[in-house]
Amino acid sequence: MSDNCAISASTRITQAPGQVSTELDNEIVIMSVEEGAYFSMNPVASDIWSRIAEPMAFSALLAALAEEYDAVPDMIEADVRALLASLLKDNLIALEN
Amino acid sequence: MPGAPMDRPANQPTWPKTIAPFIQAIEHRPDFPRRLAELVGKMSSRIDAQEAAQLAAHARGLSPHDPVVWALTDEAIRAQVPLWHWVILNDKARNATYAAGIAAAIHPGMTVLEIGGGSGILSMLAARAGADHVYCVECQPLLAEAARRNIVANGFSDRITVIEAKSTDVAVGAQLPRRCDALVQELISNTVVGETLLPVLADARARLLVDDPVMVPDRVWAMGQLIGDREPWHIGDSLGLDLSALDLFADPISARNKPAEMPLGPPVELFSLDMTARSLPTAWTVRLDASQAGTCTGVQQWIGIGFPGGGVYENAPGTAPSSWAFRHHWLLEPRAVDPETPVTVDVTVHGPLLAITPQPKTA
Repeated sequence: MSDNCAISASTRITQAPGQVSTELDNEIVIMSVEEGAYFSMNPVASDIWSRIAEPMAFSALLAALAEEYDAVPDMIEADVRALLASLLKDNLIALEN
Repeated sequence: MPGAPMDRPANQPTWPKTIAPFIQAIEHRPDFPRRLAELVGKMSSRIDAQEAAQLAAHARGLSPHDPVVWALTDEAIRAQVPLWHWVILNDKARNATYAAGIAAAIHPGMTVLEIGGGSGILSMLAARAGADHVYCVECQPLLAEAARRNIVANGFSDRITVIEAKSTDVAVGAQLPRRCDALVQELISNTVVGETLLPVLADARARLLVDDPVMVPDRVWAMGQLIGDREPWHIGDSLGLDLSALDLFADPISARNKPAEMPLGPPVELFSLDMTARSLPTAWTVRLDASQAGTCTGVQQWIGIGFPGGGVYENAPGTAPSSWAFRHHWLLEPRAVDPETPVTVDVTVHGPLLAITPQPKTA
């Protein structure tokens, strides 16, 4: 939870080094090179993963997703925070405050 | 696990495009064979099955003595190279009958076509019998490669060419220099026709063989008899619970290594196919007699194979264990039979499928 709380509007989020991803069946699958673990992302998570190929501010990410998806902003933010917390736990993303 | 045949640098396959980034990220690691095996194990359902098998074989070739690699890659390999390959190659009676039939029919001067070459054994027997040249057609890439290696190891590489393709994709003027004088094949399933035997034969006769080719085998047939064994899916009385809703998904034709426990009548020929005939029938009507009263639940069926020179292979009840299984074609509605009340069935071939359909009872 602390990781989740560490994300503020200006936090820049990007894919962490040490992982490789590829697209399979319209989903992105990520492999952590050292651990050999695989993570399969659903289409929306795959979209978010693609958007953070380059560092992106959390607020800009939320704004871009609000443009793309028909959902209320609070719900988008809650879902994105949950996803990022999960990715952070598995060392798949890096945060810059 | 086998050692020597895999103890050589494996040819590196082309990495499948979709997972190439994963492989490129790990291919320089010292634990690459095991990581590749893990990758195949996890991704085999998401990539092309033949590509998965190629990667699996590559991992085994890189690390032939790591049981973890073998275990992780088994599913991908098995999907392309089923275990029945070992079962049939260990069927000594099958191999011996084929060897005698090939020796009787194949002579110097002949060009021989084999369809479904597998290990390459029948092609090598044809070469050993004196064939000028044998074209061994095998569509499964792993098996084609194994056949090539077997053929080299046995010193036949100058007289046997492995063609990695479906026979329907082979053509005279392309892979074949001319029509072949003889066809050797073991495309005979438990129902005789299950490995698309009839369409493959018809195509080969039309395009790949001379007008009156030597056929090895030259006859195949199916035998049948009425049985009263309990259908395996009727389990409605288990612990007093009605489980019959599953019946709808039952297997109408079971494969059994052991013959039926309750034969009700004598064996009868269901159909016979003359491999040398220009066209082959696909429908027969057969009377199956009962030698005792009982409730007939199905027809037990087995196969027979005849060879030039007179050799015969049949996995009839009471004979030695066979690599072919008995097939039990269950009647959808069991019926009472006795010596005065036979069952007449329509036997029909639908591509690779064999159907045995009882005609309605006569009044």
